[in-house]
Parts: sequence; C-alpha cells; structure tokens
Amino acid sequence: MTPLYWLPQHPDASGALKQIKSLPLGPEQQLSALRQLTRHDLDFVQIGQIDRRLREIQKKLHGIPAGWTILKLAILASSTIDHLLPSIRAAALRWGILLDCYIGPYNQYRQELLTPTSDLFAFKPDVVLLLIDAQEASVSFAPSFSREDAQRFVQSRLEEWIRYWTIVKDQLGAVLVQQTLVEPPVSIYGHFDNAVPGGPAYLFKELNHALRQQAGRHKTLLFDLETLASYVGKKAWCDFPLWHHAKQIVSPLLGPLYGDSLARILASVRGRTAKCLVLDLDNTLWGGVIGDDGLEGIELGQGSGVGEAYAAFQRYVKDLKSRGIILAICSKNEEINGLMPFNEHSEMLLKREDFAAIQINWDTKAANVEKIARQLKIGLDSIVFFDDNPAERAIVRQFLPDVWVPEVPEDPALYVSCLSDAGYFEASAFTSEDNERTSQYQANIQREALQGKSHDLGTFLKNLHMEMDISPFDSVGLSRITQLINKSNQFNLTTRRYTEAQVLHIEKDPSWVTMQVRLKDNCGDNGMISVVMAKPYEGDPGTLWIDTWLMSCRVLGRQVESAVLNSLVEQALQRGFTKLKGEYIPTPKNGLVRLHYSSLGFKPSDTVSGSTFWDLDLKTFERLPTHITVHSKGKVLR
Amino acid sequence: MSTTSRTREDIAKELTGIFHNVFDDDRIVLSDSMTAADIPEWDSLNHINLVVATEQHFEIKFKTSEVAKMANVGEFIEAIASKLQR
Repeated sequence: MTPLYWLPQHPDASGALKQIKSLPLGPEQQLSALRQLTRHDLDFVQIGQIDRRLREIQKKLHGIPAGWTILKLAILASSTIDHLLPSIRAAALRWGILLDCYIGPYNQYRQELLTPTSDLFAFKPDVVLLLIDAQEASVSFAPSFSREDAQRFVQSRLEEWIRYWTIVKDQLGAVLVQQTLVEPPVSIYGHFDNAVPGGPAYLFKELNHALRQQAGRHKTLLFDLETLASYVGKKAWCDFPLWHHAKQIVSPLLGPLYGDSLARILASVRGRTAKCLVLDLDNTLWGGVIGDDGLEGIELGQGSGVGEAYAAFQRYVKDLKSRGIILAICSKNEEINGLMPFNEHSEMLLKREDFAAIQINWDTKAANVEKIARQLKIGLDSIVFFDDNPAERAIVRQFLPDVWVPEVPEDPALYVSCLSDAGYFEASAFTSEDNERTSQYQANIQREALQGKSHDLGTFLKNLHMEMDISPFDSVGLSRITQLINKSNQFNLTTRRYTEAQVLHIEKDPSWVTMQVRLKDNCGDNGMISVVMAKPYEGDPGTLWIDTWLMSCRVLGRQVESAVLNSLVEQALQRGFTKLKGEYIPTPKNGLVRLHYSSLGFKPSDTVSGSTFWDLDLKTFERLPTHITVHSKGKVLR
Repeated sequence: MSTTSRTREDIAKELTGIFHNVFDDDRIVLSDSMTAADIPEWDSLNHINLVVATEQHFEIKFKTSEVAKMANVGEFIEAIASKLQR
C-alpha cells in the first residue's frame, strides 16, 4: 500500500506533466492543472517534478489567482529539511495554497528567533514551523536520575520552547507549529525502559506529554510527528544511514506523507479543510442493496463480520458529526427504500436527523452533490464524497473537480481507516459551536419551511423573534472569529484572512473597532454569524475604514446586515468619525455582495484594480429598519 | 521488474530512467565516467534522492559507506550490480 493510498492512481503522471509544460496554457490554467495532478497518489520523484513545474509557474504569476491563497511559511529546523520542501509545497497545492517558504539556516533557530533583525523577522511569516528533532532535544542517558530530576529536565526544555512560542506569537504575530519528538525505537533496558526516569524512552515520553499539555494552553499547534511515525511504523520511519550520512530525519520516500500531513495543518489554519461528508447508502452505510435485498437482506450490525464493519463505519461517521462535520446523503434509490433502514432497521446507528441534507433519487451524483452544496450554502471544495462505486466516484471527480473523492477500499472493514487516514477534516481548534452545527443547519431548513407559510417576508421575519448580540472581540470568541475569517467565502467583502495571533493583536489594539455578532431566533441559536473589523482610514482620521465584513450565508435575507450597520455607525459616531468607507474585493465566490454597500446606502467613490470603494456620510445617515432586537455589550468607547 | 539476470546494460538503462525523473531532464545520457560535475543539479540533496530512488526501484539497500563512495555513474552501476548478484 502506498503512503497516500486514498488518492487515486494517475495512469500517466509523467505524460500529464509534460503536457502542462507543452500546451499553450496561461500560468493560472497551468496551476489548476498541476493542482489536479497533486490530487493523485504520486511518489517522491514525481512530486519533485511537480515542484519544479510549480516554481516555474509561480515566477510567471502576477498576483494571486482567484480561488487561491498564499501563505508565508518559515521553517526553522534542527535537521536537513530541504529534501522535504517539494512534498510540502505540492501538498499545499493540493489544498489550493501557494507557499512562500523561508528556510532558516541549518540548526540556527535560536539565533533567528532571538534576533529581531534576523531574516526571519524580515520575512514576516504567517506560520512558523519549529522542527526541533529528538536528536536536538539534548536527551542523554542519565541512569542516576530521580523522577524529580527528570521533571526538572523536562521543565527546562519546555521553558525554552515556550519562550520561542511567545516570541512568534507576540513579536511576529504568526501561528506557531511545533513538531512532537519521534521517540527513537532504541531500547536500553527493554520493557523496563519506561520505569527508569533517566532513560531516553522515559524522558521522550515525558517531553511529548508536556508538549501536548502546554501547546493547548499557549495556542501552539502541534505537528504530531510521533503519532505519524507510529502510524508508519518506527522501523520504517527511522532511516539511520540517511541520518548519519545526510542529517535527514525523514526519508525522501516518506516525503509525500510528511508533506500531506503538514499541509493539512496549514489548510486548517487557512480554513480550507472540509466541512461536510456526503455519503452513499447501499454498500457504504450497509452491505447490500436495500431496493433488491430488502430490510432483512442488508448486512448491518452484530451477526457477521461484514455487518459489524458497516456498523463501525456508522459509529465513526457519527463521531465526526459530533465534532461538527455536516452529514448528507446522496444515493441512487427510490427515496422510500433509501430511508427504510433509518426508520425500521434496529442496528442503524445513524439517524435521519443526523443528516442536514438528503438527496435520494435517480439523478446523477454530480448533480445531487451540487444540489447539496447549494442547499447547505457551502462550497464544493468543502465536501468529501464517500461512495463505494468507482464509476460514481469517477463521475463526481470529472464534473466537480473541487470535491474531495477518496478511493474507497473494497473491504468495508477499511472504510474507517481510509476516511481517518485521508485527513480531510483536520481541525486546529474546536469551538463549542462545532457540535451544534447540524442542528443549526436543520433549524435553517425549518426556517425556510416557516418562510414558505408566511404570506410576506416582513411577517416571517417578525415571527422569527430574532435577537442579536453584538460585542467587541474577546478571548472567548477568538477561535470562532478566526474560523469565520478563514472560512467565509461568499458573504465576505474583502476575503482578508487573518491568523488567530493576528486577530488577537487586533483585539488588543484600541484603534480598531471590532464586532462579533451572534443571532438567536425561535428556531434555535445560530451562534456567531458575522464579524466586522474597522480602523481609522490612513490619511483621513475622520473616516472609519471597514477592513473586514463577513457573514455566514445561513442568515442571508434576515436584515442582519442592516442591524450590524446601525451598530457600526453608532460606534463610529461615538468615536467621533464622520464617514464610513467600505471596500469590495471581487473573488470567484463573493459575487453575492458586489452591491452590498450600495444596497445599504453607501455611495460609490473609487475603483482601484477591480476593487470598488464606497462612502457613507454619517451626518445624514438614518437608522435602517429591521425586525431584530439588538443587545450590545460595548467596551468603553473613546 | 524482475531482479534476476539483469545485465550491466539493463541496469544502465533502468538507471537512465531514474536520472531522467530525478533531474526532470530526458536528455541526460549516462556514461561510466559521468560525475556530479557533469549535471548542474546533481548536488548533495539530489544525490540522496538518486540513491533512495535507486534503492526503491531495484529493491536494494546501500550501506552508509557505499553511499559516500559512489562518485561516478560507473561506480553507481557497479554498486547496484553487486547488490543484485547477492
């Protein structure tokens, strides 16, 4: 089995690469073609070739193409990392991320971090990757160590690392990712190793334990290399000749897996990981075909190995739902047959209400997946399509290339590990709203039903009894604010992405006006649905400039924008501003808000390279009418 | 690929394919006396890539001492041939 076995094989990767080079394509088309190629299972030599092509294309690009994001990644390492760069860049490409990499000089991470005039500081990274290896952790065998000695040693290592984390967060305003230590598969005492506080096995375990505890506390992300190495198997992971000869900790052979694993973290920082799992029914959630085999004929649950394998898969899917992944069904069936097991089969762990959208009909799966995306108001690139049928997978890949389509193993016993190994749902934070996500999407469908019953929109909105809570950024909202900033594409005026560290800076900076907006109504709590960030306009201190305004599409058409503007104007006036300035930067996804400012009464002022600017005179502004009751918890406004 | 009864020419031919892929250049023609100086991109990093790609292709494993010794293509082929004979 190849390391990235869930990605489809490419029949002729070299040929495809040559084609990208020879066809008369613009750099943006070349980039898209290259991205599709990286969504295949390639070896490290092929990835090296992709990376060469990528660097050629990047030189020809003017600016960032629509739909892509750029991320400045600084890598500080205590071992040789250059051989892994192609794999890291190619894996980021898979997620639509263009990396601008800075590699610190070999094993000089201390100097780089402690010198504010270093090249690292000049580079202004978004993410700093601190790759301190087991070899660098200064773990040596100390047979006379007591438990307390071991604890002191661990503490002193951690103190040094936490100092670096603080520098990266506070001085560089970047996200820090540190790898865990790969515990070497070398024994001194045998099984007794773990009982000797001065033994390397004991010390490495304690160091990793402390890293995991402290990382959460300090908002540092972990690149869990120890877990990855265990997944591969330590014997295969540790290539001692390679280490001694070239100071490479990770074999080039494992580069593709290493890059993929790391890129998931970057994708998650940029909010590009998947949100929704679309599942087939027959031979995916149960064995057999419900329409032919009937309720008694399908295999599910206790009694057979196959039946238990499907039950285990359902349990895993249910766990994903509990952490906030939206579930949907896409099946070719008569609806009544497809739903029968949900209503009548006693071993079904997944219930109908676990699914936010259900498409059971005879349309093509590509059409149905698109319908689900529209219904849930999410992008195709945030959908994972899981179907046992290779033909259906091929069709979805062909017509919807942005959808993630793993190669589902033939044996259902391997479904769980396939979905788990593929890592589409990587998270860098868990907010309390995540486990309520499905009920929020369901409440939305209820609301739409209510709207159908109301005679006019005004009555519908009034009957919703909406209550809005507006407050400045705070530490409680930080994770969700950052998540929204990085995930919202459609109702997003400027699509500026900020890391959690940057948002924290803005929160602390009194010149910024920040708003986190939550909305409740009689169908449920929508949670945080809008974020606004504004600051004095450069060169015109009387104007408040709206850097970011975004909203969750779940609450479209509810007058949220008007209520938010009323509150923003109020705050601007209190601070002595006389004008608001808005900006719209077009992307392929935000056409929805092209006329946002115009519809709120702003006047067009300027167009600069595609972006439009809009002004609102606060002296003549009249509050916009809404059906929303607003509660604001303002900090003292100056 | 069969690992039995490869001639020196067979090895050279397969190694040429590996060189083409690692250096992303199909024009490279191998000769025994060819060294890193003849291919601009043959640096220490790509040397390791060559070694690892070769190990994977021929299903062999070089010793630490052998990796350092393979200074030209002729020695590279000899090293592969001697591993395959065992």
